[in-house]
Amino acid sequence: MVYLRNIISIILALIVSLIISEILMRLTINHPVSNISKRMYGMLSDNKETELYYPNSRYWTIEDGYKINVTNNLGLTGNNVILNDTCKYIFIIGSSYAESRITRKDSVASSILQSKIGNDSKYQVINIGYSGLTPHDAIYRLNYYTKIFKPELIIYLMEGSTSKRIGKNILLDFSNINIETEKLLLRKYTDKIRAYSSLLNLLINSYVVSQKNTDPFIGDKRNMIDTMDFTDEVFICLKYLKDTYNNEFTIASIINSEKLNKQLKDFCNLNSIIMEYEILNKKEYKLNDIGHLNNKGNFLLGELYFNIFIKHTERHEKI
Amino acid sequence: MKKYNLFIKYTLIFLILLIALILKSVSILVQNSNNPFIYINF
Repeated sequence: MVYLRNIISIILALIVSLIISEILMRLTINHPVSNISKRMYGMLSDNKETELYYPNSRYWTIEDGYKINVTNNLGLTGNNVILNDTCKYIFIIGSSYAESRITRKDSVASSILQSKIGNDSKYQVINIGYSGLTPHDAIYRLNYYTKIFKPELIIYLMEGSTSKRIGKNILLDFSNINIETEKLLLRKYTDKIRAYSSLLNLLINSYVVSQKNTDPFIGDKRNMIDTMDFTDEVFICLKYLKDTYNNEFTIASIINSEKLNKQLKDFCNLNSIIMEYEILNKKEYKLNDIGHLNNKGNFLLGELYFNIFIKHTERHEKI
Repeated sequence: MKKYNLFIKYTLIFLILLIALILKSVSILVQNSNNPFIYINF
């Protein structure tokens, strides 16, 4: 009987100390809880998993120092999007350079584009960039989002290495892939707990960070891939996007190579795709010289997007 | 009072352990602050 009472005392002590630690965490560090709302399949190629986030939810980033940012009303990066029947939507798609989770909401390139067009304009910019997104993934992600919003213009951002990370096996028939939520029960429950516990989310985040490969040579490898030629698969995917979305599909490039930008330009001219480039993927426009785009880089990228928007509008008016 | 001793003792032990864990986690995040190779979605 004494033994049982002792066990109950210890369990109660654990629960009470967990509650006290959680309260302490919220009052002091206030690390955000996890903002993942769903894990989806079918939104990226090769059945890779995609995370969707809660609207207006806090999340932390670390590349530009420990910072807390907030998602917009769609759970994406950038400023809030006005949603009504008269709005025409502009999609920005690309890798983490386009998504830019490190950057404050109003400084993300997509928000700069929106402010240049006018925040209350009938054109509303939706940033659907996603970390590690390749042209092959773009096909799948656009397939998902074009079922929700009908875009007037799609700007695909090509930044360098990520744009080329495509396998040889390109599956373009995605009609049979079901978009479904995560089925692993354990993951489902840890996600739920992380969504309520700031303490647990902090512990998991720091564990993941400590496990990350921070080999400085990764930067060199990335630079090396940046200057490598495009593979045929890249052009197959871009052609597919053009054929699917016609004149709505355009390309912005910030690749740090005149040669590659010229290759891309030739391909775009041949296929009547509007394409603009400016070499922004370089030291002065990157965080810590080798990371993602800094505020200045995002601002200039916003201007590049705006040039594409103007060209697209002019072309549209001619037709 | 004696029957609460064990509960208080373990609450304090767990609290100290958890706070140590929190401090360790924060120090990992601070150490990796400004690391350009860490782009995590959480």
